[in-house]
Amino acid sequence: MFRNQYDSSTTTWSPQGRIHQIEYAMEAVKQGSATVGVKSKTHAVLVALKRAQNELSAHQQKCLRIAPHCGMSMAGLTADGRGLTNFMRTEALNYEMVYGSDMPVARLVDVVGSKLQTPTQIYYRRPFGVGLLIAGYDKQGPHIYQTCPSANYYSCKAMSIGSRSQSARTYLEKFLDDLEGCSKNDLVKHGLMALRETLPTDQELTEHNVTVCIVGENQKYAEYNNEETKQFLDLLDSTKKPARERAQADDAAPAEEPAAEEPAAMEE
Amino acid sequence: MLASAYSVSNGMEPSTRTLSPSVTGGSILGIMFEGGVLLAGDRLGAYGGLHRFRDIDRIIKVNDNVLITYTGDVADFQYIEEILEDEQRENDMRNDGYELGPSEYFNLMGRIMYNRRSKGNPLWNRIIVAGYDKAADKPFMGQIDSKGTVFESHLIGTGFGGFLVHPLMERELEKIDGRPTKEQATQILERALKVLYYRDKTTYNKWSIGTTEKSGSSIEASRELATNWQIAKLIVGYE
Repeated sequence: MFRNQYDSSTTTWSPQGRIHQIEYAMEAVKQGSATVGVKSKTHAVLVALKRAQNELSAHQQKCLRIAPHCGMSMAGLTADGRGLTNFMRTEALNYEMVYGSDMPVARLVDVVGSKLQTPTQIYYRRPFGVGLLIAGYDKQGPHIYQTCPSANYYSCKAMSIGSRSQSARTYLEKFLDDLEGCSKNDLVKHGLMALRETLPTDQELTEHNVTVCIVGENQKYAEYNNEETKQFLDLLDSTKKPARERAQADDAAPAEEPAAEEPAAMEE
Repeated sequence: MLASAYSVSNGMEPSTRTLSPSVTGGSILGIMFEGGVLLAGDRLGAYGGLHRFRDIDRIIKVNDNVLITYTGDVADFQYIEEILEDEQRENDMRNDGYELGPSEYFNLMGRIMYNRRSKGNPLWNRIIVAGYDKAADKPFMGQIDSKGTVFESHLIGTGFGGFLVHPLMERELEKIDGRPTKEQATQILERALKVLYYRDKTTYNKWSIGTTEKSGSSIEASRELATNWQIAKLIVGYE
């Protein structure tokens, strides 16, 4: 999208009925590294690709626990994501204190949605520059929710957001019907295979750049990093994007990659 | 602080917290059976020793799975009732498939009562929350008092119901292995109510009986017990 005279403020409509600042905020999500969420009848799983700024730094954390029954992963401005998580943790904790039971995930996402909406309609504020995938388990079963800087939120059977996430979504669409009946490990495997689709040609899934989070029936939110991810990576036939897709991507690559690679101001 | 009509020359304002209850509701009996809970309480709002209001609802149906009742100050419970109604209304408005069950209301009331106690201005009530917990698939009953003490139990008796009748019901229940059936519980309750009415002078012979089960909750508004005061002659010392 190109600059125009209607894009300097979040309180300015364009003649086409768009608010460009919100759309620009959604671009920030697309710059972040990919994350995938999938659910079966009994579990909800998040997998995320962690980026490291440089060789000296650790891979940046993408997933956070909200409550024993839900967690999230993010793409975009992780600082914004952390602020939102803090808010969600307070809300979930408050609900548990008052009612003695887990906050329904739908209601948690609803209050986050309201919080996201506020800065899209006030002059001196900016939209949150982060998209969240929220995975949770409550009386109504497992849930995957996606939130946007636009303050829209969507309940999903499976979803992927972040850089090159369309490839993951294509994978998920193909296997959508298989997900419901999956075992926990098969579900993680599908998540990782979807995530694998988002890799650039020179990268592979390693125990350092992958996070796996699982929540569900008789399973409190559990997060797996570093050595702990080995058990899930071992389920895959390969940690690299399948060769056929790689060759195609190589042909198509040059135009796409620079835009997606390490923008300086953006963390991950 | 309230704008005071009292001149405060010595710097002390009058106490505005509840010091004693005014119109009060009496004993409540609650008995859990296989698949549900029975609650019973009379329809009396007493003004000290006077049987002032003889037709009040003391058992309220919050939703299809929750009945709440009380002993103690009627006005304080009417305030609580508003809170409960608001809570239920908000939940209904959302209409998102999540229901508040008895344990949620029990927790909520526990928090409210303890909070009031901590401020030194308690609600002068003993609240009984009963219902069917759909998530755990079993009946629920618990009590919260004005200090914020909470506990769950399969048998509850407050006031005179607690002193006199609770042991009686407990002895009957001990004869049964596990939870009683609805019919057994009903029989035990009816006998207990009779004893309560005969022995406790503050009761009034108009009773509300609440039943809550998996299929839903209902309140039989007004029942009168058949009594035979001829037995009074058997009491030693009765003229």
